[in-house]
Amino acid sequence: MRNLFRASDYWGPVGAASTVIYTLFIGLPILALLIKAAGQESFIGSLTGEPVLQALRLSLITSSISILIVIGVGTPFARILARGNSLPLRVVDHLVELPIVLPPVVSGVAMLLAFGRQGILGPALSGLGISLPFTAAAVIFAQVFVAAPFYIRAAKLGFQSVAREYEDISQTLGVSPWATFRRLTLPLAGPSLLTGIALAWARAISEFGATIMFAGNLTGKTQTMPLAIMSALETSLDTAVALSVLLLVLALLVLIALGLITRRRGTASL
Amino acid sequence: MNQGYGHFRAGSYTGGVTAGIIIALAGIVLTAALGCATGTAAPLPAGAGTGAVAAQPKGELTVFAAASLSGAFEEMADAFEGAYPEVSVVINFDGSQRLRTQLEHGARAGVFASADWEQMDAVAAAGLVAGQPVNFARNQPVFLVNSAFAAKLEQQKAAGSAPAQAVAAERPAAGALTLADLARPGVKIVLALPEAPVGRYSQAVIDRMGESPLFGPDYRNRLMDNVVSRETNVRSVAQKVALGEADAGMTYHTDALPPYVAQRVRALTIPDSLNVTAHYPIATLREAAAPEPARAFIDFVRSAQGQAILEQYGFQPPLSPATGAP
Amino acid sequence: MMPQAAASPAGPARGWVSYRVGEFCLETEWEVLPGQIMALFGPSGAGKTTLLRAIAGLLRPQDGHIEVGGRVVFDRAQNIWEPPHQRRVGFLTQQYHLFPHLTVAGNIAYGLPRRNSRETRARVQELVASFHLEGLESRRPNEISAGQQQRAALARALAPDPAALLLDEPFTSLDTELRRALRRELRDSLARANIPVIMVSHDIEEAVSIGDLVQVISDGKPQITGNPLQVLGQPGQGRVARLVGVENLLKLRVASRHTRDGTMVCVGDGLPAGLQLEVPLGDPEPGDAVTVGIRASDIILADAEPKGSSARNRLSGIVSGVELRPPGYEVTLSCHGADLKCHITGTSLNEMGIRPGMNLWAVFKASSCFLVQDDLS
Repeated sequence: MRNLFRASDYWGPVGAASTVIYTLFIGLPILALLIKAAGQESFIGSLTGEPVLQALRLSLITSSISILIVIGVGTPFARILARGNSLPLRVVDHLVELPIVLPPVVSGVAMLLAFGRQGILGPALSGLGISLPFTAAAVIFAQVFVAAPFYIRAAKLGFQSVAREYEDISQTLGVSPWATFRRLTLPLAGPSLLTGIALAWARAISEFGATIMFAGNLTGKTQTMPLAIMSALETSLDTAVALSVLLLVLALLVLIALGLITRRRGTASL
Repeated sequence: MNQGYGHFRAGSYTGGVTAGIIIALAGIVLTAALGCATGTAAPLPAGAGTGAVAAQPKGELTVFAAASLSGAFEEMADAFEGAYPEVSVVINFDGSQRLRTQLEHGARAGVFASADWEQMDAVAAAGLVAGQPVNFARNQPVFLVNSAFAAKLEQQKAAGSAPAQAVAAERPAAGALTLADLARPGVKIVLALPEAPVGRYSQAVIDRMGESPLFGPDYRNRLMDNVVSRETNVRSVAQKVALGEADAGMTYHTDALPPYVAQRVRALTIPDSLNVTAHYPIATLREAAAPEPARAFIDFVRSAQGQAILEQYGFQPPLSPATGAP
Repeated sequence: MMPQAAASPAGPARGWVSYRVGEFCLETEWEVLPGQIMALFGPSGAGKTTLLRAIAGLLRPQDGHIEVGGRVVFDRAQNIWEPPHQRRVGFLTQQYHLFPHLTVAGNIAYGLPRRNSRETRARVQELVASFHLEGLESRRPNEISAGQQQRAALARALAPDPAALLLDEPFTSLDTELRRALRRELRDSLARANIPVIMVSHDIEEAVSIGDLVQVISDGKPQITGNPLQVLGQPGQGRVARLVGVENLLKLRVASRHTRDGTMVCVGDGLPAGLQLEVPLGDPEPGDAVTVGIRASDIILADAEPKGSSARNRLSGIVSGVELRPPGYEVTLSCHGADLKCHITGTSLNEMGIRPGMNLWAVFKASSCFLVQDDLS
């Protein structure tokens, strides 16, 4: 506390007060979850039920696939956005961020209207024998839709932070553009990319509104962790709390891993 | 990294402006698309129920009402406010099981109108109900089938089994879609969560159908295999069927009536012998900020005027207006 | 792809380009021989950096022909275009742009094939030694000084044996004192590389003291190309004179070198005794002839010999002419057989009452003098 006050004379008291208030504001609900979970006799029991394991498995699988798609498609795209300056590209640049601010339910409805059976692409898809709604693919669609902007945004800023001259020089040293990207751009933009991955993954695994709208809610098929928590809430708060704590721990692990990686990278690139 | 975040914020601010506009647009489109039709009937004359009441109740009244009551209770609130200008009514519609959870965890409301007695009893058991809950309406589960899907299936049936059907051609609507068709492989069925009243009713009905000789031994299992999603409340089930994302779903009879849904779905009634009846209880809550408006509201719902509104939305009057589960 | 130990293919860097973007139009040609340094001098926006980028392949001119190390790397007519990574043209930017995620050694090794091989390590060691970077191999770029960064960037650029080297204002990131000290060092390094070098500068002093060849470029067009003396000796062309702006060029002879002060004393060559100047230390040995440049605006006039001044050079002379030269006046002072042109304001002229025939002192610092690369060097 003394350090906090000393850190800046002017902002000291205000800063300290807001820090305490904000920490409580964020910390208390999480603490409440943990206290509630700790008080449960059946904590482990409620986590080992088959629906819970299925939800956990589904969440991990779908979010992993989603994040791979996001990285695979988002990286080249972010790179183009970072360097391009044409008007259409700037328009696209703004559109990319839309899903961040759209209420997820709206995203879900929009996806239904586009990819649903009665959506714009519905007839074409059903012609191919594909019906997306109520499938795990729809879960992935929803996750990619809401999560990709977080990665693309971070990756774009990461690429922009790599001065163009570095890439120019790399090429004049006889290194091809692709090798330049691999040996220079990626390492320099790395911390931003990792931040983007973590944000996008967190968003994907916690995705709820668009999923329930577009993919529905069926145990073992489309019921991810957040949907399982929601469904559990209808009957037993205990199971819901246990699931929430599980999700919390997962998220925390990712944040810690990310912190470790970026810190190492961060000092390395200074 | 810090710098990166700075950019991030600045960027999302400008993005936010555009986004805000688009959200607004999306909202309009959404309302139009889903068209949650609300009653547009003219409100009743303002003086309608005033004479019966000695002291005018005033204040704000919060009503927790089952999702299936959406249209009816919105109009109910308008009419009630017409009769009691000093009271303003706020309604929270959701699955009854959710409303129950919210009440159990300290949400404050004056009135709870549930779609089944199970949730009402749970709230009463938690000591939250003041006085005795009473029945105020009845409803029946039905199967909603998307019209386009029904038409397509009927076409297939007509084409696929033409020779066989020819024999029984004199039977009316031989190729018509029936409840039995819902167990065909590939039909996408949505139900409400089993915890929601309508989900529980649906399960009961399907179980009964499974035991009935009318539908054959594995009907129940084949039907359940077709379930693609469990929605949180009955409105979502109706929406998904109306949108055509699901082929069929089980809702209340009343959910098929709003124009948007009615234009897009066909309701398949369930034989009375297999169907169940949903009894809707209503009660004032102990935590009510203003007990008089709460009591007045329940009286209003049970009055001839209130019952007329419910009937207009397809609800039936309660069998036993007296208290307790029938 | 490129044998790292192979000698650079000897060949000039030459060509011409025509490049238009918006209002700006670059139309220029050049020829630089191996071992030669061409200083590209001109004001900001003249198109100097654009030309370097075109030669390196970082931008594509609408028309032109570019040869490096005996190979044609661009020819629009023949539809030849080599991408930058195949051109073997080293490029040094103003800020050096050492890769921040790599060590000094990692930066130098970056352009070498087989980065972990013994040959690579040997080559890096060799470059570290010749650029005086010993002990800094494992430092990060932000942990070394600006001068060291320049050397590391140069080592990195030269590591893959480029066929030509392009330097974009290599001294901009250094402070004034360091600039002068490093000029000679850079010249030495470049001489060893024995490849054509093009260096961009907007400082004429820098251009003439490093370049074997100077090209003055303005508005995308070359104004004059030649050795420094030719360029500086042609102030007759109004435009070049304004760009170049060095009024005093003195033919002198080195009398003695003072390494500790970083200066040398030069005396008039073939002139009456008494003309003696202290100038920054350079390559020439005592007895060598040198050309020293001084800007007219760097000279202070005094009506008595200044005492207790830190300026090393004080010459007395007689005013032989006063000319209006807006915004001030140009005073010509005859000192021991040499004419010195000095720029002063009208106010100073009036206050001091300067007229032809007056006896005055010219005062200027040793560091205001610079050596002009001679044709012979």
